[in-house]
Amino acid sequence: MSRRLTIDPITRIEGHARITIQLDDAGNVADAHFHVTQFRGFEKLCEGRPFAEMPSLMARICGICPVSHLVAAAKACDRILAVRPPKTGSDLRELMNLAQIVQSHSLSLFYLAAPDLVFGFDADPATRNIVGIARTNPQLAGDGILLRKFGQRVIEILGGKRIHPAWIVPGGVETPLTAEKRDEIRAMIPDAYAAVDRTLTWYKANLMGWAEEEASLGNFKSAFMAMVEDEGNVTHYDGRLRIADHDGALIAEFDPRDYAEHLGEFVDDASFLKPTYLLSRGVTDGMYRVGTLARVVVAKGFGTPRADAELESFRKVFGPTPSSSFLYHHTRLIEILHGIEKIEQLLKDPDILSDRVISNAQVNRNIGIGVAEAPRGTLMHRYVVDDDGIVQTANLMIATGHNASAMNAGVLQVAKKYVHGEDVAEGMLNRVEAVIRCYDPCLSCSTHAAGQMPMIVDLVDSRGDVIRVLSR
Amino acid sequence: MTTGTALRRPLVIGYGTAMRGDDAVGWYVADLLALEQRLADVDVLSIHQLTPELAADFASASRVVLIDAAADGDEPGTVHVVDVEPDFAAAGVFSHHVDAASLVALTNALYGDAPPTKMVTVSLDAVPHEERLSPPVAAAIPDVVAIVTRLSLEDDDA
Repeated sequence: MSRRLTIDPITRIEGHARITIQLDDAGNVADAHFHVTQFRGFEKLCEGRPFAEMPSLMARICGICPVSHLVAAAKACDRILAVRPPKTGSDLRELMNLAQIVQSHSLSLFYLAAPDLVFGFDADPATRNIVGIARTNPQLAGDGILLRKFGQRVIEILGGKRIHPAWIVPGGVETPLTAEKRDEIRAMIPDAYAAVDRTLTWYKANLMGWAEEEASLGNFKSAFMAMVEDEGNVTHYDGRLRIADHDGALIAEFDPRDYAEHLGEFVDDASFLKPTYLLSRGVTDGMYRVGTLARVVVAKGFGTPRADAELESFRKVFGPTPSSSFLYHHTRLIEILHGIEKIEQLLKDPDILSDRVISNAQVNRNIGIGVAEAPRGTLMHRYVVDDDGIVQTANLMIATGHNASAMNAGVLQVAKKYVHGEDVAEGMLNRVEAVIRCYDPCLSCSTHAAGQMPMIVDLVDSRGDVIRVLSR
Repeated sequence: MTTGTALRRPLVIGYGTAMRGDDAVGWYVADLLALEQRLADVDVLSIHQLTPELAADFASASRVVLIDAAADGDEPGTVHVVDVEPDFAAAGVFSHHVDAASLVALTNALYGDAPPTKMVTVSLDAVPHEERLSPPVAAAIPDVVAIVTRLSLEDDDA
């Protein structure tokens, strides 16, 4: 009789979820599934609202990455207005998005992932947290707090508050940057560099200790997708979408507004998360990954000197097309460095203080598509409006949706290693959680659900009967 | 890593969900305190929830007073004041929020010390999707303002 294993809850992720592990008649793992079990229907409640409300409204989906939703929504609204924001308006949007990359990656790396990295994946959960790190490695915890505060403070300086600022609007941004605010941000940059440099040194010194996790946590071949600028470097604000295969071979490169020619969505009956796939390969074979790992695979580099030096050293160890999802953590850290560098670059441009930050217009198009790179990967907003600008339909494709199939593949890989018949090896639960955590999934974003944490997991037999529910 | 004692200022934090009825009581009180002339040398914040990075703010404060709504079953509007002791077990730690005791512990672990921290709670009546306090909780606000003002200035008046 085949069996099914359920793990519940899964901790240190954003949102509620559940994992089902399906056993076959011989007791071997046949399949594994990551379900998101909550629903809020954000797209539906946007219908009937004026399009100009979309940036502020969509930002409410998430308290961690509201700025990415602001950016994607505002870019979609730019298309509806048929305007291009003034350069300073675009630069200021990019600045805020980079600050969010820094703070979100810091949360993911230092608060969520670092407890596993510092204490080991089998350590007592009671000590595997940020307070535990603070007691054993206060420098590391302090640097995490400093970097998160840096990103949040930049967002607050620009937008007036650190969560859900309404400063990014259709056509640009609401207010220019003052010299005083620019200087306040600049003054924080040296400490941010020092913190990320120390963390990179610590991370690289410990790399060999995580070799088993690198080999086994989500280590498989897949395609990758990310946005690149004209030179082929990573961009988080505006560029072309590039899809590359596991070996780096180009699959497609296109204007993000043409995404529907390359990407499909399908409904998973067992989850509120709507996965995506490459149309050219179909649902079964169309898995791809997005986010920091994807960005370093598809792009030439970051286009900033310090991050590119770190990337070069990363590629010397892991090659140009690494396949392990565990490396999301390392690439997040490199991207924090890039974010600080890019913020510094943008602030050096005297035009960043220009008063011309917004372009005004009326409704000139009925469809608007906005795409940006969020911390967790590519984020797409598509709105259809009537001639009065009232939203008729809204569709969001979120990083966690792009990564859904890869998360399933990662859970399956771990389950096959640690589950044999009714025997569940010690550490299996921790590894399942850890592989999900590599992707830093935001279930609030992917289902637009009210975000609290614990994800659930189940073990089921071939007839569909739950035989075991694991939790702590 | 800590700021010199002479430079530290009291820190008052009102927190809760601003759009959920009585859960916003911390915000209401903090907004009133921010207008208090006597508290010109006190830092006052209104936030949704306590987060780990507030440890840095705690570390540079002379004392901390937290204001929150409490679903404790007491008569709505009842005010309680308790000392917050560090909880190194960190049972209340998650990713982007943390409970007060864990936050004091985190501050202590990171910076070697943590300021005296008080929690002022107001027993809530209801948390509907409204930006409005229930009558008993609204009626308690003057008392809460007076209590927090006294707690904030305790050192300075001594």
